[in-house]
Amino acid sequence: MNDMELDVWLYGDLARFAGGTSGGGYANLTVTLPAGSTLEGLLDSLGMATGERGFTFINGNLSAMPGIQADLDRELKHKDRVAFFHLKSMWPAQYRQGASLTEEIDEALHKDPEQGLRHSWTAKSHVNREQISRDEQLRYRRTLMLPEIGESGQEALKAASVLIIGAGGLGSVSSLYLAAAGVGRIGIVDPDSVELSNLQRQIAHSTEAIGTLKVHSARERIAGLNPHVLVDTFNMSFNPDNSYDISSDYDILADGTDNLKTRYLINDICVRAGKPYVYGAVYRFEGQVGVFDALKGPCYRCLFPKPPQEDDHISDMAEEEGMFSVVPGIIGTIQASEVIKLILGIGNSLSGRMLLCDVLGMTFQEVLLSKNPDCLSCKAGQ
Amino acid sequence: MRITLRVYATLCRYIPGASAGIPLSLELPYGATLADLMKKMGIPGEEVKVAFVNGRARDLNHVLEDGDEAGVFPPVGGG
Ligand SMILES: [Zn+2]
Repeated sequence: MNDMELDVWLYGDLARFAGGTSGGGYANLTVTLPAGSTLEGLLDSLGMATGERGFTFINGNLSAMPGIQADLDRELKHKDRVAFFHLKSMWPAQYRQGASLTEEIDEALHKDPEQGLRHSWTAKSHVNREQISRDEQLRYRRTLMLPEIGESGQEALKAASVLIIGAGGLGSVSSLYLAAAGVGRIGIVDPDSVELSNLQRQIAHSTEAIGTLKVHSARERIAGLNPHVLVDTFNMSFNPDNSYDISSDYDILADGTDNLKTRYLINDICVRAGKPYVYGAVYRFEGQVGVFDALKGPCYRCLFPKPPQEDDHISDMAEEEGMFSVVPGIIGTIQASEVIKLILGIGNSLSGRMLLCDVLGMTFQEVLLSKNPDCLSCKAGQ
Repeated sequence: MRITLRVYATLCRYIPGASAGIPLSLELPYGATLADLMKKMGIPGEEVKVAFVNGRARDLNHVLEDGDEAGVFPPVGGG
């Protein structure tokens, strides 16, 4: 009997199954198994229990996801590319938007659609996978060279969706970087039009765009930067009446708002939906950035249970006190970085940590945060 | 005992001459808590804030020790 070689990719914490030399992030190895071996045989040879893995792709086709390991009996072929993602990796949009599936998982899903990770599950088989085109191969060449990301990671980015609330200083920067990196779908919510006084920091907008809607201005800028990105625009304030509907079709919410009320709203929506909230906020020469993922750690309300009574006062004060141009750039860039890491399930996210950045002294203070057992939002979200 | 305190954002307004992120060095009696520290610095109890010691968020009953690096930050609103 002949042996076959498999191209195996282990992402995030799963890299430890490569044999102990990896410091996390990823591992790529060639595994030699007897011809006719199954995926279960591959897992055995890696020493990985099937429950350790999350989304799994065989040659780019989804074959398993948390709770559904329909691929265990699947016979692998010589030169198959098998990618294992960690349970914490965020892949929902990949299949919501119709990733191509292996027959086995397609069948399992049709048998029991309730098994889908989220209620909005719609398994579609035999549609084009989120393939990277020739133009994109070149565009993302420098990303594809990073083995921590590679082709599977780039496909994950293309399949992901991120909602950015606010197209101001933070949203300008996070949206442009996420678009440049190849996040497939970006939603932008903002009720305002571009003003001249915005332009010292809101770099998604241009002088010609003054008087036009920020969401349209940002969409044009993104289209110019990366036409492969789909942009949804919501020219409205993000409020309790529309927030659930607007956000329901996105994997991750990123903060670009200019007031505390909306931050509490984003937090509560994310806790309820089990989505990560990539938080950022700025004040004069300072910024705060973190990830609130109530499934794994504290939420915004765990830190600040109640909005300050002078919420409006704090917001107004920020307007009156001015803003150092690059602060939203620094914070927005870190937010974009956290979003990408969450999509790929690589590195250490800022979940459970907050970074306090002070640009004048140029210090970064890390503060470890814990879940608050009395948090009303976390209790309601359970 | 001697501790340092870093104050952030709008809370700087309570401490004349304080600058965000720059440590202030302070003398406190042994056994002092974070709440005692806030009181000494004139930061009102009703201010919404998170205090931390040596890089970890702590509640205000936390007892400080000599050499501790404390800090306190409020929510900020800008974007
Ligand atoms: Zn909470």
